[in-house]
Amino acid sequence: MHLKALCALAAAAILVTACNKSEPPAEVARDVEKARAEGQRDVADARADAKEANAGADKQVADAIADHDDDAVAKQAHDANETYDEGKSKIVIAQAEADHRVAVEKCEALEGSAQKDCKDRANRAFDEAKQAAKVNR
Amino acid sequence: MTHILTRALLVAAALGCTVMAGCTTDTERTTSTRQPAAARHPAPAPAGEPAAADQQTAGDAVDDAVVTAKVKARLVDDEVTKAYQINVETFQGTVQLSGSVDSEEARSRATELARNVGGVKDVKNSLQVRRSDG
Repeated sequence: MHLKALCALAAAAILVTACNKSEPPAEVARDVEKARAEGQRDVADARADAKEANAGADKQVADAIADHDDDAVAKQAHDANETYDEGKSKIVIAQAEADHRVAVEKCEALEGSAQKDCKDRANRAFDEAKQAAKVNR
Repeated sequence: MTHILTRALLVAAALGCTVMAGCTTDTERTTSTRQPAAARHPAPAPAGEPAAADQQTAGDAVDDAVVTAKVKARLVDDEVTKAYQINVETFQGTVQLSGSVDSEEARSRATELARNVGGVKDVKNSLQVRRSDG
């Protein structure tokens, strides 16, 4: 029993010392660059998705106009605006995620509580950006 | 002596031809890179038809109709602007708002809403603010 407790304590101590240790600058730079590239790809994907969705929604409006159906035009136009807002929101969130990923990787250069504070700040900024994207919809 | 003179004249004539031919080629090359006169000076649009800058293709017209419908939907969906009869016209992505509203808030809200529609390049707000008397 005594031995088990000692082992658990040792394991906890190892974990605590392993946490919040700074990474070597070269490794941080590599991870930041990787995060930046992934983020840019995600933002580009979100833009492409939004463009495609908008084109589809606009076509529905154009079809309703061609049918001279005023009610359908109003409905499709309303839906197209929703699609546009949704796409815009997704792009903003993808950008916020990309920024967050880069910010967190940069925090890895710091150590201990400085690293934790850095990550907390990045998380808060990300939450605020997501909230703003929802409000602006 | 006469023979030498004749040969000298022949050589001079040949040189002259070569220089002239070179000049002609340069001139032709220069001319060929220029646009034809018709392209440089396009014929004016026939009377009653819009000038080239104002011309709109069928595709543009459809796009503009879609933009107009979307702007109208935004205005109708909004709490501030839905109370007004706002005319919307779109030409090549530029939206023109006209009619009247009774507050500056409604006027600027209409601009903001129209700007936030996909495909809108610019908004020209001609809305009149009509103050209600009492």
